[in-house]
Amino acid sequence: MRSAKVSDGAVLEQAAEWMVQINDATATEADFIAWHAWLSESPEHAQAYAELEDAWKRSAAISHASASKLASLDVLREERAGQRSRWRRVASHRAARWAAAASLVFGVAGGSYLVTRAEVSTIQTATAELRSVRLPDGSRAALGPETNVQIAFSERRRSLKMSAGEAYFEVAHAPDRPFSVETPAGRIVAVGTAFSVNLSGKRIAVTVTQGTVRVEPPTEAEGPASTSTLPVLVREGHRLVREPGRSVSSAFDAASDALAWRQGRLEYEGEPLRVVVSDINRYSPTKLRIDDAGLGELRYTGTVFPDSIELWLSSIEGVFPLRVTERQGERVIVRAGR
Amino acid sequence: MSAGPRTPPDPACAAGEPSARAAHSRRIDQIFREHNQSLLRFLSGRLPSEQDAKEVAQEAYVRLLQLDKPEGVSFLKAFLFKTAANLAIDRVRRKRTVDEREHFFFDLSLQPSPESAVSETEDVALTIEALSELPARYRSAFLLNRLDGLSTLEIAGRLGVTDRAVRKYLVRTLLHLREKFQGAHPAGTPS
Repeated sequence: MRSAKVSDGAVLEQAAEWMVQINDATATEADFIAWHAWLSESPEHAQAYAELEDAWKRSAAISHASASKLASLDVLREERAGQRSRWRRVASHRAARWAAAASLVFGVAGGSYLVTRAEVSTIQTATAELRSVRLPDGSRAALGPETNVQIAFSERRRSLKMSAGEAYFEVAHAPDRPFSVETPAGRIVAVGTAFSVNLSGKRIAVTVTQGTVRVEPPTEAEGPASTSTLPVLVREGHRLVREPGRSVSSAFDAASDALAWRQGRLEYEGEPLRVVVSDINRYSPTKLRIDDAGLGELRYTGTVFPDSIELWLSSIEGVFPLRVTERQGERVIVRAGR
Repeated sequence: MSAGPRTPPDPACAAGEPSARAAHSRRIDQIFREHNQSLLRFLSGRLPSEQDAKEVAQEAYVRLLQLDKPEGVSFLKAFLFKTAANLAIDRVRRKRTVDEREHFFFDLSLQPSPESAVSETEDVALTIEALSELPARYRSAFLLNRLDGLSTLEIAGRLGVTDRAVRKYLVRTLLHLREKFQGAHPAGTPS
């Protein structure tokens, strides 16, 4: 509802001052408390603020303006040009941040498993279990819940088979002994590098935090040759998502996100809901099912704490057109309004 | 991290007794219901789409639930907005870095609908018109703030003026924009 706009000048000016204050990157909790207090002081305050909020929101359209239109404003161009180099600097610190993230993962190495020199061994983690293992060659693996990894090392090669779950590998450098992870959705080959693998049925996501890995199609690849049947190189700072008929590589910015699951947090950026649910299911004895393929494709960005899945579920009902329901002893995500 | 199953932080411990935890949950639920609209409005001017605003609001709500100790309502409210503001800044920065590397993976469903695209073009024109009527310093401050996400203090450094002056420029610009938009049709309502 847009009511008649009658706010007087002095109140409007105060409202504008508040707007500048709370929208500034330096705004503190105290500012928000004071702003809420001011808003509830009188209906005129709230009205004036709403009017300015409308102007604030509509003027955000300026980000869609063409470069030539912006130039017509005769802005101090060098001021804005200077800004761009700042982002570059941020990007160049990426490597350092990855190193920091990786050291968090293996921060406490003392308690980690040492896989013995046995020819073949299998590691299976339980629901909600996280485990660190040291492999015979000195490489390290951090395993997520409900993850199955079979280790078969020889003098010529270091082969692992992963049939489910999620794992992060820091590979010891040994160029003449390739390190590979075979999964139902493809094979990952590395020399000396660090990468994370997330497996969800026929979909695989490979995040490379150091070095380069090669991702090959599954050995039993069926059907005619397509983009997803060719090997792909994934470089440091990139993430490859491959599923039948589709293969997308993109740069990622926050290394911590890819490894956050080791800290009891699942971080997502534009991930299909079905992938998020498949991850969550590895943390919970009660499995969730998505009843609607369309819902599974909705993109989720945010954090899930696997120890508070219920809270997360109730909060996403406001974000997506869905509802969580109980059906014959099963938890099902269905479209809202059905 | 030691071997074997990790012990997840007990949610009941996080906020003291289970009953305290439940009270915390209820309080947040109430805040969410009362302030969600105002939070969404606050966010939608800072983020590229309504869906972004909804997602950031949801994330802020989840963070609020994770808060270690029970707090009073006014602090929780402030924490909710502060958290949402930080998340919005992060999200915009990330999008920008990704854009700079020329990777575009925008979900088509998040693109504005044709009607909202029309009123957005109108809003672009009105914003440019309003800005062109103001002194150059006002425009610079506004664009550095809204397009580049600089704080008033950073803008002050760039323009060689005081923080107070920058705030004044932004306030004047906002008031002028409000007048400009009021003279035109309100966005999203049939004329």
